Amino acid sequence: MENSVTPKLVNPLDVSNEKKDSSSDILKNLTSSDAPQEKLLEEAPTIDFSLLKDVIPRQSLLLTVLKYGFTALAVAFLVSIVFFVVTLTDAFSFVSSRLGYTSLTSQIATDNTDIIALKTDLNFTRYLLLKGYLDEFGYYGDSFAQNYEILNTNTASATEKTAASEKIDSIKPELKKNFVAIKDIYSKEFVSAISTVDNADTKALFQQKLVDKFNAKAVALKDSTDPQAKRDYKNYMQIVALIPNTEIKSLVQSTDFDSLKDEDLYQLVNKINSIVVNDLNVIQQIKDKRIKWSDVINEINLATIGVDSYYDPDFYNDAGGIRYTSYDFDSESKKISINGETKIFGTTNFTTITKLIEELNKSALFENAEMRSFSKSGSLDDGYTASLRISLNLKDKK
Amino acid sequence: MPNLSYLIASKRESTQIKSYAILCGVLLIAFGLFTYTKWKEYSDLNTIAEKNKAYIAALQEQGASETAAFDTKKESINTLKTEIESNLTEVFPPADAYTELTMKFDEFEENLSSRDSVFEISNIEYQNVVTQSNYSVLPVRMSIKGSKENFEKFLHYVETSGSLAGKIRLMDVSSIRLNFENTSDLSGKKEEIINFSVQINAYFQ
Repeated sequence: MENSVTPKLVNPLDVSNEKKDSSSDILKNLTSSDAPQEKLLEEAPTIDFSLLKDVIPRQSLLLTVLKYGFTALAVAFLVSIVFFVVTLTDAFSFVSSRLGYTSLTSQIATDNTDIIALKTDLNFTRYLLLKGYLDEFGYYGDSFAQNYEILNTNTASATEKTAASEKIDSIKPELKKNFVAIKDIYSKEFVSAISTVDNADTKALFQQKLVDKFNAKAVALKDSTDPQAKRDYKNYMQIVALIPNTEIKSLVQSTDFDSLKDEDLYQLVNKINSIVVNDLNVIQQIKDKRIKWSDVINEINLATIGVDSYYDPDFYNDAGGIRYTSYDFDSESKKISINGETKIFGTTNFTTITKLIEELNKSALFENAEMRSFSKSGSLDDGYTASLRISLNLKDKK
Repeated sequence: MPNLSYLIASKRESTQIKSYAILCGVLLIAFGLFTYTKWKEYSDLNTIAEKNKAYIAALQEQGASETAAFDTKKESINTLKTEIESNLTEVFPPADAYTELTMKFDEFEENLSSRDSVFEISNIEYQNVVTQSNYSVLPVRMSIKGSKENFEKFLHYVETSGSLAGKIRLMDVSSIRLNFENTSDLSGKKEEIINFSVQINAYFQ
């Protein structure tokens, strides 16, 4: 504010003379003269202080710092934006691709594509191997099941049963080897985490990719006449059906092979052959529906022995009892008709027949055994003979 | 005394300082937040990219190893498939193959029939093929006379059919009508003879 005060301006040479004047009387006398004092310089210029009215105050250092700081920040922000946009997005891909730079997002997207492709290739190989082991298990399992049935049927001879037992013992290690291999493959991870896909969707994604790969391979072989190509085509299509099959996976993973008895193994083989789509699958489905009439006949004989402990057609004429003259079995309607006669040296033919009906109804195989009309003929001396005509149904398999 | 312009300029400068200070503050906060957020994202993505790189390398290695394991097994798989296919043509043929089936019945009869134990197939009648969704059925009606033992063997033959190892055509008994009769052989030994009419389903692809 001092600048605003207007000082009295004097020519400096004039100022000096005045000072000499007052410094000492001696000097004053020596230099004094009556002659008029001549000025060395002209009058000092007059400064127009009004000009200073428009002068702005000197810029503050703080403001300068702030300005530079702001600029620096803005530039840094801009650089940061550009850096992150280039690194994290594909906004400048047309430039970055020319410079050979790939954004992280693009890199990850490429990596994910590679992971999906590699994992699908790996799953492809695993399913080929899995199907191979399942086919082998099914093949040995089919042989095991046949021999198990021979061992447990009433229609096989002792020799056949011994051979079947030996065969079963030789097949079981093969079954175990294949089952363990199947279980091992199912224990592997068929899905990889993909950063851009929700975990819930990755399973469906990999499954679809695998199905697409098998379908693509199959389509290429569809019209081929080469036997191996035909075999491969069939195999690929069967694998396509196997991929979404979670039932077989759960069954295998929950089964401890070593703890299985022969009967359990028989059930397991049949179950696997019925749920895995392969050549044996349809055969197994037919076998599952098949009725073992030898077991039915055996069950009728057992029920008969329960009523007539001396049941034997050879002794019928002499000892009496029950004799059958015909059976009629129908697998479609599951109806059975039994015809025969009872011969009793007494009068209780009808009791014998009703006991037989009750015995048949107790059986796990039959239901609805009935005979509504009873008639007999004969005498106490020769015995009474009553005709037998029982109709019954086979129970449904559980 | 300060003039008005000077005062205005001073005031303006003061305002500028405040404005710049506020702008710098806001910019700094925005810059900080933006950079922090993006850096975190960058860092996460970088980690993912690194992991992906390592995972891809592991997958490539695993793929090579498992493909090698499959290649070792491939030959035995193909051999088994060929064997299954071959057996399948007998067990579950692509056509009704009634001529082969007739020959098989003849062969079975020849093996069973003896003077001591009767087994005679007196009639074979093939009926119209029934087509199902996954397979076809050739119904066969047969009239047979046989001993009880041979009747059981016949049942066993049908009931254990359809095994690839056994190579017997897949069949099941649709219906049976049995009639029992007793006869005596020359030695006087009684043998139960069963006359049975049986309807069999022979399956094919």
